[in-house]
Amino acid sequence: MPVPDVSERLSGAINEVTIGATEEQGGSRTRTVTIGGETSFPMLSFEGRYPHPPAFALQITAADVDDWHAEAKKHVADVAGDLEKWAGKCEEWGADLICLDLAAAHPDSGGRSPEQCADDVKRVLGASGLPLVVWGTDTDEVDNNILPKCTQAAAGENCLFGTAKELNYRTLAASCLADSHKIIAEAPSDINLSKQLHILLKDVGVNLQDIIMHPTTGALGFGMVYIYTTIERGRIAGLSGDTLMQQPVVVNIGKEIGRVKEAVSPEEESPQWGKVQVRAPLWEAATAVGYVEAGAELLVLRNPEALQQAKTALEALWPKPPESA
Amino acid sequence: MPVVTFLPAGVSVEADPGTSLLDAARQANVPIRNDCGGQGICTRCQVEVKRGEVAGRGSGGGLAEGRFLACRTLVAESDLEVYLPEETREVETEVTLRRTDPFPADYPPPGAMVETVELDLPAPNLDDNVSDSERLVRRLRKWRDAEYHIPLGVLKDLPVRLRDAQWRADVTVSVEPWGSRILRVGRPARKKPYMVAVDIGTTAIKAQLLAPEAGWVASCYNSQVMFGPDVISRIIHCQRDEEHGCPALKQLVVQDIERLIAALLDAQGVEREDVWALVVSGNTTMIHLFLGLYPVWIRREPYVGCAYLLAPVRPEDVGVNINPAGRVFCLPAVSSYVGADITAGVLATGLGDRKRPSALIDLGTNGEIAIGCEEFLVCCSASAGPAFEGGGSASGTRARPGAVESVWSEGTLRWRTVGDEPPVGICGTGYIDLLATLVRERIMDKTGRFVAGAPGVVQRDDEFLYVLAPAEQAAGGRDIILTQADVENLVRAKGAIYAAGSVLLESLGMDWGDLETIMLAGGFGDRLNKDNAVTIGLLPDVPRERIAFVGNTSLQGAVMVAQDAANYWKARDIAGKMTYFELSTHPDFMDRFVSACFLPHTDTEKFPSVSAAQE
Repeated sequence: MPVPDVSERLSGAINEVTIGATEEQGGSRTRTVTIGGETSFPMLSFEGRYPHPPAFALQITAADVDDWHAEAKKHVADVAGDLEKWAGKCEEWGADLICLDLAAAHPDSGGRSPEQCADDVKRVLGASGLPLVVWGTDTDEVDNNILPKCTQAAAGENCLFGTAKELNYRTLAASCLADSHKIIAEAPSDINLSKQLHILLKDVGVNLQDIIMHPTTGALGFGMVYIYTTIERGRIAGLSGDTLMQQPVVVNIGKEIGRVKEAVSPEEESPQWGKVQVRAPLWEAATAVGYVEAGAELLVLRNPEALQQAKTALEALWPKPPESA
Repeated sequence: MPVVTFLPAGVSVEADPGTSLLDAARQANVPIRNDCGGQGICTRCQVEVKRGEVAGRGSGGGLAEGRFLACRTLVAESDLEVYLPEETREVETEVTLRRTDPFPADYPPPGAMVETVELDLPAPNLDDNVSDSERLVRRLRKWRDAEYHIPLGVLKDLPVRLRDAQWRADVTVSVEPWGSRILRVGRPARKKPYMVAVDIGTTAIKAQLLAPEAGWVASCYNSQVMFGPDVISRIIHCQRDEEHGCPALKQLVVQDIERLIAALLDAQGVEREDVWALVVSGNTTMIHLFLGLYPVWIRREPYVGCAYLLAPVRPEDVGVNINPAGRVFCLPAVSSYVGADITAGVLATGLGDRKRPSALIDLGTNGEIAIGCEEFLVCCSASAGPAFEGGGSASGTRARPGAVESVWSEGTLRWRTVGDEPPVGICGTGYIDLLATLVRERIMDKTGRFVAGAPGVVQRDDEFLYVLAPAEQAAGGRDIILTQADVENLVRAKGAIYAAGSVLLESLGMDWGDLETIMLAGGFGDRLNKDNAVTIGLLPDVPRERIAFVGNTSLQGAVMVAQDAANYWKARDIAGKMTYFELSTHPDFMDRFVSACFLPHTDTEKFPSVSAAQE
């Protein structure tokens, strides 16, 4: 008796979004990264197309790394304080992209000026050929002050800038439009709010194909379940044809791991949990792999070891194109 | 005991130390504007203490020097002089009279809830010597077969009156659930018993005089508003002050109705004695408070009211001053949150007689939706808040002369008011138009946030707001504005209504498109622009001819019951037939609500005509 074909055929597909521009494309990147394009739910290799594996970015920052947990800090100790060196290291560590976190612009973390931030962007672009993600400060006023200068500094490089939020999207949207960058639309763990933000961005001229969505991020053991189901539900909507939910998903995992006691508590405090140098990267990698299973395409990490572990795991998990294709 | 004097009214009241100024004002019957029920949230109850010492003070945040929150400021040991600034006094107590089409000269028709019939009775003799009362009932049964009850008060002078009328008497009877009650027997008066139909809304109360050639509807704000804008805050007040809370609210609504009746009688030149019945509609909580029924369990799970199907009562039992022998009828409710107003609405619109399913949306403070046809009736409630009735908004008002009732754009925004009078505020239809126009003109984005720098948008106290009419054009000498908070309330209200309708339809396996007619009811203006109601997503994007604006169906239903007792039975039948859906426990409601809190809706494909117009 033949086995019936039970695979689902879905009407929608996730948008393909390319970040970075090579010299021919008007930029200076040595390569570009394309994410998205899936036509089915993650890992269901018998159902759809998976043209691009998930992409990993490593976070770098001009701000102090004192608040990083020890296991992440130890890898970057040599390069922290030198953005160019750090950026160069990222490629070595296997990152597909660099994520420049602009926390240093926040008044509590040094208050770097818009010009300094723009210069940071330029220096990172000069030091590495990887495509660039630039992440703002979570403070609307600061973001509106620095991000326009930064998009300008990176004009032509087709970077990914974030984040646009429901209460503060106009400035970043206008800058990304003017300087031809992709944009991160951030809506806290709610499909409706996310769709509403995409409509708002569309209304000010942003192409829906240029949006990557950030449902906010929680680490494993620290709210991941909420975000996981949000991504999953959004994916169901997108693959069913909802064009407002066909945007690829980014999660910013690295900065969340330090909140999880089980991941970073030192051995002398919690001997029952085993070696922290194993635990901490594994926790970050496991969170990342979990998010890929939910549907996330772009993952921002801090710990290079975690990045390597997650990539290794996904090489085994990620569906290969069918033999016939 | 300290004496508190309220200025500029000059009204004094004795108050125990520890009483809030707001409560003292309530005791003195001095209205103070207040939208949150005295919880220190709305900051509308600001007063100035001119003389004396007070205890406590409403949290200083944002309060101007010398200003106190009346609800958070307590009487101390000394006498006080408290000045109410103009905006705090802005509780409208005035009654608005509006003309409607007058009733015919022979109104009310036979078969009304109360009617007078002239009867010839055979005089008693030795062969026919049944008692006077049996004689009367025997004759009445020939006129209309029913059970008749003669109350003691009528019985007492029945023999005198029948003989005085020489056995040709006018008999006034009312329809009761069990039969008929004889209200009066006397000489033929050639005067029909008049009635008043009342709709007690959470925000506004309306009353219509049912008398020959009368054509008046009187309306006023529900004075209970000073205890909070919605039914919940008023129930909380009853709970907090078990002894005085419920009676105080009852007294306020009865006083309001008294004022409305007085205005109606005055306009038509009718005596109180001639009014024999009140027929009252309203949501379940309002009817509870009108009758003085303790409403507290309406608010607590499992949300049970005292009574939904109410027997008629005597006017003196409620405290309304009409003919003391008359009757007060309350229309039946369905549940704690689907009241007599929706029963009346279904009756008035004939929803339950239709061949194909239609919907009735009552856009009141306590919004309700009924869907059905001759085969079924279902309903749910969705707390919309008073936004569309002009409650709780910076420049909100009910539909009255001077209320901005329509807004449109001719390059710049234009508006017109009821009666073309100088603007006093914005009423529901005006708000619908205003939101739609601002979105269309991109002065506001689709979440309802003003766009900084757009024409008409100004920044005050760190907040953006839209100035529709500057102070110099306005009747009150203050700008007619739309604030960000107003918009949020309006968007939430329309979102709740749309989401409730969607969930109810889904539960039926139906869609908005399956409905023959979508009827929007409410007393928030006469000029509903259907396109604009769809543009903001208050109503679904269906062919416009399927949308009907049906006005205040609660009052219409009360009038229908009053003038034809058959409708009284029909209303009871409707209430009994209606299936209530509880949305608060429905898993999808919150999701639907969030997606509807957008202009017009997060799922843009549900509003193709709006998207097309915006492209």
